[in-house]
Formats: sequence, C-alpha cells, structure tokens
Amino acid sequence: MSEITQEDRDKLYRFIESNMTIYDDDIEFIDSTNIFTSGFVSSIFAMRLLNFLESEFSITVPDEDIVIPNFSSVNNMCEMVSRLKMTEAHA
Amino acid sequence: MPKPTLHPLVAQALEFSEAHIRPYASQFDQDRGVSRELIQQMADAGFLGSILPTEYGGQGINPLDYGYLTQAIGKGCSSVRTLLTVHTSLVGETLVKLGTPAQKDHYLPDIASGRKIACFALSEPAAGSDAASILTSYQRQDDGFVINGSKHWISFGNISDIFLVFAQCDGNISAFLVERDMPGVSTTAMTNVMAGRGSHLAKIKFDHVKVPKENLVGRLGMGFSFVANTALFYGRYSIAWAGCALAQAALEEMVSYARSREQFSVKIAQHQLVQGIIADAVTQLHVGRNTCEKIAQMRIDNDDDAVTETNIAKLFTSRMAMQIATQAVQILGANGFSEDYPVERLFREAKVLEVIEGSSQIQQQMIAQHGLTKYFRKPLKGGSECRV
Repeated sequence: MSEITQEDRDKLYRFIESNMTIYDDDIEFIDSTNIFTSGFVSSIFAMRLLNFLESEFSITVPDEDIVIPNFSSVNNMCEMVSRLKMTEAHA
Repeated sequence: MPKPTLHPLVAQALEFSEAHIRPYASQFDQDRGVSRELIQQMADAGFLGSILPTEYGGQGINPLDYGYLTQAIGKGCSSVRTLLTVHTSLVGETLVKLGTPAQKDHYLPDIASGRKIACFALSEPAAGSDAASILTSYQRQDDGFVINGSKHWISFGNISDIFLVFAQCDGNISAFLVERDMPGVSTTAMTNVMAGRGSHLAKIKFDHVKVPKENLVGRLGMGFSFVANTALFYGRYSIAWAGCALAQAALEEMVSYARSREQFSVKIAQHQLVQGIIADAVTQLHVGRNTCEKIAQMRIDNDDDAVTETNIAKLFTSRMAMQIATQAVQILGANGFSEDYPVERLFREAKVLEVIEGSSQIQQQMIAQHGLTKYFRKPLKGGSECRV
C-alpha cells in the first residue's frame, strides 16, 4: 500500500482536533479512537473529513467508500487513503 | 489586486435580471409563483446549469462567478433566486459531488439544461432544524425501496420533476432521487405564506412510492452524514450570496428614495441621520460581499475551512439583509409598508434567509463549536499551529 507518513497523520490529527466539539482537556485520542462514537465530532463532520482527505491527499473517494466506518478513526482513514492512492497509482 | 475576469454569463444574468426579473418581482409575489415562461428563459440562457460541469451540459463557471450570478438574479427577485438555490445548488451540485456515474449521466443533463426542475425534500412538519428526526420512511422491497411520508415547505416542490428525498429506516437516513411521475407522488401548493410566495412552495406526499435501487444517492444510511450535509453546504453558499443580493436591492431602494423624497424642504438624503443609516448599510453590504468573495475563493482553492466560513458568511449576510431591509422600510416611512414599493416585499423576503438552510441559531451553534476549539490556546497533538 502507498505509505502514509507521520506528517500525513499529524495533519489529520490537527484537522480533527481543530474541529472537536468537546471541551475536556484530558481525552485519549489515538489512531484507533472512534471519533464519532467517542463524541469528539458529530456526524456532520464526516462530510468535512471527506473534503479534507480528497484535497489533502489528491484522491477521489468513490461512492462505495463514502461510509462512516471509513472515516471513524485515524487508522481507518489512513488505510482508505493508502488503498485509494495505490489504486489510483495503478490506474 | 487586479479584479478577476468575470464569466460572460454573469453580465448576461445582470442584464436579464434588470430586464426580465426585477420589474415582475411583485407580480410573481402576487401570482404566487414565478412564471414558467421566465424559468424557460433562464434555462435557455444557461443560468440553471451555470456551475454544473460542461460534460453534463452545464456552463462550468467557477464558484465566484456562480456567486455573482446568484447575486444578480437575487437582486431582481428572491423567489427566482430560490430556483438556483434548490435546483442548481442543493440538487445539481450535490449530484455532481455524490451521485453515481449512472445518476450523473441520467439526471444532470436534464438539470443543467432546465428540461427538468429539481428540488430538495428534507423538511417535514415536525422536522426543521432537527433534520435528523424526519419521519418519512423507506423500506427495502424487491429490487429497490418503498417510500412513505410527507415533506413540507419544499421550494419549487409544486412544479419540480425530480425530488432529492430524505427518508429513514430504523433511524438510518438515506437519500433518494424520486420522480414526479412515479406512482404515489403528489404535491399540494402552500400559498398562504408571508414570503417565498413566488417559489412554488409545496407539501409533497409519498404514498408507497417504489424507487429503484439505482436511485439511492450515497450509500444506505449515509443520507444525513454525507448527502444532506453536502447539499446544505452548497445551499448555504447560495444563501450567503442571496443575502448580499437582497441587501443590495434594499439599499438601492432606500438610496433612490432618499435622493428624491423631500422633508423639511430638503431631500431626506441630506439629513445626517439618514446618511448614517445609508453609511451603515453600505458598510455592511461591502463586508458581506467581501466575505462571500472569500468563501468563493476558498471553494476554488479546495480550502478545508470553506464549510465553516460559509456558515459564518450565511449567518452574517442573512442578518445583514434583514437589517438593511428593515432600515429601508424605516427610510421610506409609511410608504415602506405599501405594496406599491418593493421594500415591503424585500422586508418579508429577508426574514426567510435567517431561517432556511439552517437557521441563524443553528449557524451560531456550529460557529461556536468551531470558535471554542480554534481560539482555545492549547498545543495540538500534531504540533503547534500559527493561527491567523
């Protein structure tokens, strides 16, 4: 799979953290945290994540991948981006 | 900074609006509907497909030109501008972004050309700001879905051919393209309203409407998270420009009146308190338009903050329109209450902008959530960030 760098992950963290709707300073936010069920962001944010990933990583997320699980954690987003970048590279 | 070169369609829209829309705006209001003839003229001119891609028959103009075009049409009549908001922005742009290739091929050419009119069917009698609480339902059946329920306050719903409908099954919301000629679809005009009288408002009923599976927009259960929110982003962008349009129309009315009306033996424009009102209106309008030009550029640049900034622009310009329309009535005095003067209608229409596509209070909630994070002085996990 096309490699997602630490810098890419940091960008993703910054974007999510910049849009969190919780006000508790002591939260655990790691790669596998489900940002929706944890209440960090609302489902409205999913649309923004879609736009962010498409513009930041120059990919087009196909219809079949526009589902909440693919956007629910940093791990899942990185996995999807990596897969789509590889697909586009071989297209 | 040099001014960007505008697409010729913008100048065309301005001329069209002054010649064919503005003089008839009161008529559309009284007739309870924009004329079919005007809609056809707008379709023929390419306005209805203005921002849609050329490969589907649209004009392919950029978001900034589309904003100016929306403003040009909206300055003439808010109800006519509403057609652009629902048909071109809420449905057309959303299908471009989230439609399947087959949906794009099938629906977008008709939408871009205006051969078919499309509308956005989300609101219900008990689901306004809490849009996720819709009761209209869908059930899987055979090779598709069956939709039951009703929608209210649907702009251009009474004459639309295509409906982007939101329905739920066990709380999971999905979006569907429904056509008027599908058995079980019926519409009833909503004419007893304060504003939006020309925008063919309707109640829509879905009585066991069978929809093929190919008409599902987005994945099952993703109708609110992705489809509705994407559509509302485009809709708010349109309404932000609509605020500028309405504010400018009201400002033009108040200035024209102040330069002709005499009181105390001088034109009222010579009274400093009247000049103060005009100065405030001009300042607001210029700030509002600058904000809209900014969000247009953010869309062109694929800036991630475009969504939040569009919420801010929508909140600002809709309030601005209401304030300037209110001051226009103030300057016209008793005449401002008369249907003989456009400000009476502009005042009514301005209020709508503070309610539709997310009320001002919904915008405030979203903007506050953004502000509570953005302006909190705490290092981020991904490294500190210089915020301007």
